[in-house]
Amino acid sequence: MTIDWFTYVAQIINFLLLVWLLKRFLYGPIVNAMDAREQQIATRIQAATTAQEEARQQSREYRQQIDELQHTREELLAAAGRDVDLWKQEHIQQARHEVDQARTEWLKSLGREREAFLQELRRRAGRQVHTMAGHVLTKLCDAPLELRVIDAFATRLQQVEDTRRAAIADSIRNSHHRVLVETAFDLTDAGQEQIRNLIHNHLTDGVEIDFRTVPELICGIELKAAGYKVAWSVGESLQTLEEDFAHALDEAVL
Amino acid sequence: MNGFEINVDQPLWPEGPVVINQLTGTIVFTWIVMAILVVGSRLVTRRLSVGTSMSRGQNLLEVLVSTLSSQIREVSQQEPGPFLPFVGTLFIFIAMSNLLSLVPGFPTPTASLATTAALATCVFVAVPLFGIASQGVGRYLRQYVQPSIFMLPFNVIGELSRTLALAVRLYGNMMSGSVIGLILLGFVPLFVPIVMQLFGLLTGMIQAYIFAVLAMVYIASATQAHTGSPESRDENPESRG
Repeated sequence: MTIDWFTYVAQIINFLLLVWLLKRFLYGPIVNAMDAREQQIATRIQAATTAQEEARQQSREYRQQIDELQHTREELLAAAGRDVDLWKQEHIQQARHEVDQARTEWLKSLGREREAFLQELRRRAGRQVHTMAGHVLTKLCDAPLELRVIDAFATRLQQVEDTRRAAIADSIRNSHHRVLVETAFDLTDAGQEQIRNLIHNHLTDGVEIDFRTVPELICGIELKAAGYKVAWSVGESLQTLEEDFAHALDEAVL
Repeated sequence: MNGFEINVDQPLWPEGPVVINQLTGTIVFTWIVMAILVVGSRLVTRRLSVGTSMSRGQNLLEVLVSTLSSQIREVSQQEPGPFLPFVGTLFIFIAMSNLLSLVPGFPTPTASLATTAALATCVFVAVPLFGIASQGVGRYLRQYVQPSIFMLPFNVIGELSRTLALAVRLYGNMMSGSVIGLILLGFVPLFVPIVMQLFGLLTGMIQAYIFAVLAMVYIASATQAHTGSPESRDENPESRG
């Protein structure tokens, strides 16, 4: 176990030379390549991390935008709902108003028709009653209807209270002694004379009487003098008939 | 060995001209090992890739270098950069020499005491160089008088003895492997020498590792400040040989 010193020194030199060669051709390039790769990977990881963070940020922004859009959508829907409700209420109110107006017009029209009908009813009924009463009185009592009407007017005039009668008389005297007598039928001379006598006896003398035929009176006589009126007619009786008809019509309408 | 034995410490051409007549087998086969390592490295590192795809040779060298770096980092607890060429070359040279011993007719240079002594001497010199470079002359030399001045001769003897142990350990293991192989070849010529060759390969790798690790331990102990006794810094690493 001896050492060849030449070999020993040569091996030291060889080893140091090998260290230098391997440092130049092995360790240096390999370490540099690994460092470059690590740097490259670190750069990529950094880029990926940055991209990931940007993606997260964008995701948050998009989520926020979605929330805002959702909120805006809900607000728009709520506003649209309110507008629709308001529009609906306005049109309902308008429709109700139009319906009320139409109903009012209809009721007015119905009232006018009703009045016209009742007027026509009253006129026809009075004429019919007048004709029928005339026939009946002629057949049974052998007296014309006009005379019986004048009798009924005389009775009404006699039933006027004294104070009212005096007031009517004063009024006639203050109005140039003129009175107006309206009858539903044409008075005969005898009838006019009979009425003139009634006025002279029960009210005052020296009165000028104007006679006028008014068919609407329906079998009646009216005395008009300076704001006073004394009358008798079948119309009063027909008033009850008219009221019954009107009541029946109202029930039928409602 | 294997019936064709070369005495690696004898001159190959004794009748040659000056210097040539002193070249021993150790030197020549060391050159072969060096040529294989340098040329192989150069061929691989000529076209290196910094991307994710690389050649098999580059992959092998990167695995080798990164493993050496991690081992140095674990042992020294320091960055491996300054130590990698020296310690890495120790391991690679010894490992390649021991690996080539499997080739028939190739005497491994590490079976020569001159080679192991040269490597141990390099370690012996490198330890104070790295220590002084790291801590400065005064602080490094102060380690030899710790914990007292009376420990100076023991510390110096320790430095020398561990250097001697490095050389003899590697030489003894590699030479004994060759001798045992020769002896067994004489008794059992079939199969058993193959098993012994595989066993020698394992031993060679372990010895390369131990040599490099011990060198790194010595260098690391010299480059780090110590508070304990000098004996404790080595943790008795020779016992592993």
